[in-house]
Amino acid sequence: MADSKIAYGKGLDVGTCNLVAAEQNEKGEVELRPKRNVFIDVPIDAYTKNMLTRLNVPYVVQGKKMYVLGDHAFELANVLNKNTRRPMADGLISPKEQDALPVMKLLIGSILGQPRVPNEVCFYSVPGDPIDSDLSVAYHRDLFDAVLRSLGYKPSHIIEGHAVTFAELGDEDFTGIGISCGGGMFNICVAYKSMPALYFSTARSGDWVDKNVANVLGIKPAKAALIKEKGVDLIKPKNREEDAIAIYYRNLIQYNITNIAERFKSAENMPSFNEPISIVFSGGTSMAGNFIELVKDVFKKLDFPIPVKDIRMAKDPFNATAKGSLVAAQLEMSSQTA
Amino acid sequence: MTEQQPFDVRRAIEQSSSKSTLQELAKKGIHRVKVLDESMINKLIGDAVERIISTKTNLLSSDDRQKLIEASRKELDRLMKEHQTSKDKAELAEQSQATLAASVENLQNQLKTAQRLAEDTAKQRYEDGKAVMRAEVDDMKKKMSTMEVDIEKRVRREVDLEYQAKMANERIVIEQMKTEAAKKQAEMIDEMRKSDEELFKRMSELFTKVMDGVNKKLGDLRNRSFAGGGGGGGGGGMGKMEGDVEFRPSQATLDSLVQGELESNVKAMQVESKSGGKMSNALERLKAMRGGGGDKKDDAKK
Repeated sequence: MADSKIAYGKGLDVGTCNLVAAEQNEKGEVELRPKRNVFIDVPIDAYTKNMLTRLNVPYVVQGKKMYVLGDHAFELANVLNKNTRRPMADGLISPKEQDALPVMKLLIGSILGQPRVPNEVCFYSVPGDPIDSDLSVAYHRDLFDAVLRSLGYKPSHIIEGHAVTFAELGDEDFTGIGISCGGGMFNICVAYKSMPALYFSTARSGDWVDKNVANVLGIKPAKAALIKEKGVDLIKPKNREEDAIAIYYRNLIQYNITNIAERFKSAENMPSFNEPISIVFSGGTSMAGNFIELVKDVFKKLDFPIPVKDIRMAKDPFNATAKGSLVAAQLEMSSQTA
Repeated sequence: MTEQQPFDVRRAIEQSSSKSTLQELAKKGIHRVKVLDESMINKLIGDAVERIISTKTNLLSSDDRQKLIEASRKELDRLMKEHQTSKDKAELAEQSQATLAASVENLQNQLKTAQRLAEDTAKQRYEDGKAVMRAEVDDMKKKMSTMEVDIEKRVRREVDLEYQAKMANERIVIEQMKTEAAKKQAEMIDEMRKSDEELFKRMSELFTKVMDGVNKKLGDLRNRSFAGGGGGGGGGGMGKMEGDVEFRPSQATLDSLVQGELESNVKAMQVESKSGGKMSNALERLKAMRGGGGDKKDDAKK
């Protein structure tokens, strides 16, 4: 029986590196369940299965292959000095990992749980059309609609940058720019009074940093990601690894901010803002030390076409997209019941 | 009787001898002489006289004495002659010894001279031989250098000849190739002309088609911008146009991809969750902005 105090609907951040499910619990609080969107092959035998279950490590058997899923796969990859397999690349389902869709379904099902009411709405995030890639977002959407439908949800999608504005720009009438810096993409959305005016993505983000750092340091990208996630100060790197990360971060920010500015300049349907707006950054890639300072440093050298009053980090950068998706789902649910 | 004068030995010797210088003696080959001094001669005479006297003086008459004296004189003469003879013999012996010594010395000198001469001759022969050989070596060198120059000239001439022959052959080949290339070029130009004409014809057709397509797409874009652009405010991306084919899986494909259960322990695992605080403020604001939320759901959905 559904509890009327709960605002139904679920949000799902479908990221290249991480999946985050969000829902509101009985206390009115947002409950978040993150899961790393990776897996790794392990030998298939009864002993391994038993051992993994005892260690509370999730696995899945698919045909003649067995995979360890989520954070444990990431840890295992670093221990074994192997690369993890990723169901997604550049923000979209990876064409190289077609067989991974059932694995993703399992991962998504594990964090979303069962629908609490029939046809509970689940908003999942999708990237805007990439400006530097011709990958198909429509195909990606079709697959996730099918996954969520098979789990019993009523699927719907929200542009990732737009979800950020829902989560972070409430106090500014949902007007401003939301930027989600994920593993595979930078997702940008200009919102005006909660409406997305312009959105797009670039296929260069955290993975690009990991790959390049791994190349220059002669390590695996998973290892580079681990170093990055342990905490790096981008303004004051302390060693060779951090130097490499800081250099590629600066390049990444330069690339994306410049592209954003150019895109805004050339867009015909840009709204004109009466007052300067805020830019909010979110996503795992934005959580490196002094990320915002680096953005500001790059930003002040640009002729940005929109008046900006503030550049800031989201209050909960890792979960902003999931939270925004949840808000969208709740809004949808409330409109259905209204 | 006439009184006999005392016998003057010195005078007698001087009268009975001749004088000769040492140089004259040396010239004669006499380098060594035995010297009999006056006192020795006197002693010899005295001894002879004494012997005669001691045996016959007092017993002899004057005749006898005279005879004796004569005998003595004879004896003296004999002795003098004997002395002279022995002297001559000694002188001769001495002379022959000196001659021998001189001969030996002469022979030694001759030998030395001969040796020196032989050495000088050998040396001279060596020098002469050396000079001859040097001349021969110089001559050989001259000949060699001459030969080298000749050989170099000959080789160069041969190489030049060979090179000229090769060049001539290659020139012929190049000429042939040029001829062939010219033929091919002419053929290609002809083909290209034909191809260009065909291409131009095709391009014209294509350009007309493309222009039609562009006009159509521009019209479509104009329509899109009037409609709000890019499906709910997008307008980003690589610019998908009407007519672009987008791969969309069929429902059957989608169903086959997500259907079925895999063997897994995931469902048995406790999923960790954390609280993200309250967000009702955002939801309420949105509801308020959208007049209850029901009428603008598609905006949020894109």
